[in-house]
Amino acid sequence: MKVKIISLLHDEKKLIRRASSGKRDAQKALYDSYAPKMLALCQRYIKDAHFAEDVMIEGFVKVFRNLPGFRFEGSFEGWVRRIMVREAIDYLRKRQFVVFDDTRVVEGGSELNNADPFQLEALEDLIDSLPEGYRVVFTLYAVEGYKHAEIAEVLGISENTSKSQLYKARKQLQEQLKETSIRYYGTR
Amino acid sequence: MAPVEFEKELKKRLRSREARPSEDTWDRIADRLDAEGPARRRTPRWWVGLAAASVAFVMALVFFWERPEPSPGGGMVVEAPATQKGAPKENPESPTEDFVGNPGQTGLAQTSEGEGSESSDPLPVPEHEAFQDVTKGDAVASQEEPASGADLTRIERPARQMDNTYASIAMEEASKPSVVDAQVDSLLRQAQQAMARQDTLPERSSVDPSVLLAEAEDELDQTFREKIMEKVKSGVTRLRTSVAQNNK
Repeated sequence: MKVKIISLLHDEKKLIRRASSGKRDAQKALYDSYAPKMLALCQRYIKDAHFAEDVMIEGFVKVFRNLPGFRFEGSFEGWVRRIMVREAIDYLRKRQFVVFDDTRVVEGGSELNNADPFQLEALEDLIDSLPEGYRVVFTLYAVEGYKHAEIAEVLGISENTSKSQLYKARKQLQEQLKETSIRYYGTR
Repeated sequence: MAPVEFEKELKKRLRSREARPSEDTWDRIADRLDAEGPARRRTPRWWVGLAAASVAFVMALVFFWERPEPSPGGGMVVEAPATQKGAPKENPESPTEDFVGNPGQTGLAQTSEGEGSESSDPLPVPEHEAFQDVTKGDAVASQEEPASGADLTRIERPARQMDNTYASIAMEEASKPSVVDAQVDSLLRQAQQAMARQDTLPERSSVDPSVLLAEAEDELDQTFREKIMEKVKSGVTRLRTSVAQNNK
């Protein structure tokens, strides 16, 4: 199993090298393996499927243009994800879709809790239904693993705004989860 | 499920989510890549080093080619015998008379002239000749305004040293039918060393600006040359290392 993973990584490295030298077949192979995940990522930020696809295309063009600069210091998938996230946020900022509520909130006690695995599926849909500003901050923080300082830099907002957006997103998700559980189980 | 675990699970699920792109998406990407040309490739560093080294080399070549070879005396023309002969005729009462009009010195000047005409390989231009040239300049200046007493003593001291040297050469010549060139050379070298020692003595009361200027120019010329040579050397070294690295 371990040998197989190492072999796959080695193959990917060779593929990346070939793609960076402009070989179209290698670029296509990389696209085929990462496009589904990257499109889902773009769709988490941009609800419209067509616009999300446009952003993904732009992201892949940037990936292949900048591939000679990839130094194999981190995972390739992580590098591609970062490019896609930047691209999606640039798109949102250009279209001024994101409106951030700058109300400051008290931190703490906002983690999602008391949810069972059955609710995870429902939660994915709930996240999609969050307002744009909440969703972007929550996705960057909870899914992509960005820190508040990084989110503030990427979105051009203050760290406090990022924190308040995250707090509100979590609170809204908790409330909706409660409602969902009442609906499903008939208990409070 | 604990809150942290729950969010971890959520993260895992969301990150592994996939969506199917439309059929023509890859074609659009390929079209964009074709339209924009090949990916930017970094220029190899050795190429930059090679270019820098070649530019430095060409600059050094141009510098050394076009620049006339400076004489050790700071680029001054040495006409020692002519000066010694001509100076007293033009102005016999000039303050440099002691130096130029000395009988022993005059004879020595003739001796050196004669040797210069006989020898096919001229002697290297020594420092005392440069000094003569400087004193010539002083002599010309002295035609316009008289030199001070300090200047005279400063001129006289090396002049006397030279007189002694030339006198010893003359004595050698008189005692032997012909003086060997090597002996003349050694005597001149001794005189130069003595003069240099005298120049370094702190008892010098006055400073000749023209001599200082000549020395400064000479130093500047040397430092500039050294800088150019260092640049060329470093460029060549960098080029070598980068080529070696590239070959690896």
